[in-house]
Amino acid sequence: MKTLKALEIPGVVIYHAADANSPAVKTADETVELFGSTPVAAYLDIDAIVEACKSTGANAVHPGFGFLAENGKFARRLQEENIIFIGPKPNVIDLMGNKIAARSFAIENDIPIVPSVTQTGSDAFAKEAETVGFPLLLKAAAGGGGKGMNIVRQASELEAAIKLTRSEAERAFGDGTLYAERYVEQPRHIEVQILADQHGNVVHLGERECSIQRRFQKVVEEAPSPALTPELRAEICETAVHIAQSSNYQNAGTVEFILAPNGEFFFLEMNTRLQVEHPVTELVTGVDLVAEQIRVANGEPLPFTQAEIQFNGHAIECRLYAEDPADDFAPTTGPILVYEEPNCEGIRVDSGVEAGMRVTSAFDPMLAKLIAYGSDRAAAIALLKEGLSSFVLLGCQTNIDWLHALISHPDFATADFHTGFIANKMDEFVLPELTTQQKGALALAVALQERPLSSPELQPLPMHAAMGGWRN
Amino acid sequence: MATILLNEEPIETIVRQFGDSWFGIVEGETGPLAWEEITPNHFKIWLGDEETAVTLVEHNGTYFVHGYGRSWTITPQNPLTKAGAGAGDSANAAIAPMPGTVVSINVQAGDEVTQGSIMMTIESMKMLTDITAPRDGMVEEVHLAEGATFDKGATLVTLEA
Repeated sequence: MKTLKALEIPGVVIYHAADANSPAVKTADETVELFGSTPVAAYLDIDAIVEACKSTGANAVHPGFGFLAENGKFARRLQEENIIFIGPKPNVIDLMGNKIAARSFAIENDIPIVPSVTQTGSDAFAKEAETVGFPLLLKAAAGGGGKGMNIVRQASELEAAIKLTRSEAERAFGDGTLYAERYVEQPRHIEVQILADQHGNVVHLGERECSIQRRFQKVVEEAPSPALTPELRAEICETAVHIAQSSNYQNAGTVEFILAPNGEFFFLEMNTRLQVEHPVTELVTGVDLVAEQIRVANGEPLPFTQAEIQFNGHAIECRLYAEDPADDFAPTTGPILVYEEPNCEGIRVDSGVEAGMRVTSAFDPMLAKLIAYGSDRAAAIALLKEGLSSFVLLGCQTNIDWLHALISHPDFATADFHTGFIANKMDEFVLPELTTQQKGALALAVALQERPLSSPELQPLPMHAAMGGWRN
Repeated sequence: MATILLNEEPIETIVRQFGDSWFGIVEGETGPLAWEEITPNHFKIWLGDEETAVTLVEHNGTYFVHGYGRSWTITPQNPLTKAGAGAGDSANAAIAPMPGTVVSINVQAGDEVTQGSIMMTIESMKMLTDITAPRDGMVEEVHLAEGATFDKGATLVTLEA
């Protein structure tokens, strides 16, 4: 909505009652409520969304991320209704959305990929899976976003893992087809932001490093990657552009790679939508990606060439979740009683919540993104610490303090990490203990609230208070 | 004298006043105490040579506090109330270990179950979890329907006592 306001384009926000109090709904020019048996079902209701476009006169849809953002059927339907889908063409969404098809495409176009095999029958998959070698990763073919994935280290664990992954895939994507790929040890996750217009121009806006993950979910992302030499950066970014060009890509997208410790990199998948972590790219390039998406969808050519894109400074983003790291990251719920975002130069907050809202288990527990931008990585880390320590969200347990401890870890400062960082080092994420006096100050702040407070001069000294009433 | 739980850690505190001087005693150590309300929910506290700003709010007897760069849950212990929440005899009910959604229900009122048999499957944090019977017995009531969402601690299935 912020970008639309800046571009002076009216925006309609569609929402389910559970999101009625969100900032987006409040700043929209118009809103349309969606209904469904569950909130998720409401946001997947293509007919209702098309109806909302017609009734409000909206002629374009920005799908955001999640839900129908990478759904080719939705994009096709909008096309049929002459409504602009802000994203790539439906056939490209289908191509990249199906991990198996995307991999075949990569092979045909000489793009390096990790050894893998796709399920062909339903019983023999264990035998096929073994051919990629151990350790291997079992994945849902129609999946993404880190769901429906499990690591298998030895043959004896394979059968059970196949069953589990299949049922998770069926549940999350409605498709139990699996594939298995070799699991690269100690990998780093590097992704490249691509932007292409409808006139054949394709550029990259640099890479992001998203190696700080927990159970395949990204937690901290940054741009640029501290792990790349200029040569490797150029090679990876150009490979991403090549993939976009070969697939006639249009609009914004992200090409994901895994980087092995020896410098080899492999194409993982392409996300045909804007990513949650896009702000870090916006900060280092000065480009408003959402605005460019809208312009491209409107038929305009890209306003810059590759050479004109400049990269300055370093940006790091943390995802704030309603979860309890001390309770194995169990999702938490509760009312947001006090909400105060940090107010420092160089800190940006993208939030989906505000004071007065209630955090419930109906949706993904991500509350907000905190992004720090500094002249270099050390400056960005310092700003991030300041932002996290001054972010006040009271009433629902969050991972904010845990994130502060994470980015304070020495290996984060030296960028000596890979995707196993959180799993391996989590026990070392602790903030310094307070002194007894400091704990006392906090406890007393509360104790004082419990006392009926009255002005000191009206309180008699204990001796006098002990006297009974008496007359002279 | 009050026991205050600071994120589950008990701290003994006393607030004392002599004339117009206040003192705070923490775990036996005494120091001069002063405070000032800056804006609603925002206070400054002085204890001895320690000065700090806190943001706090009370809800259902618990205080949610932000101080020293982090969040705390602080609960004054009233000696007259029992500590902890009894959600019913755990052997007679299956309680939700985390908030989530009911995916599938395998039993109905009147069914016999054995300890460990799967009564319900829930989804939370993008993963499936089976809810099993805590003991042998008969299902008295299944409290939620497929597709329903629930908070941590909700009673999912009750067995006949």
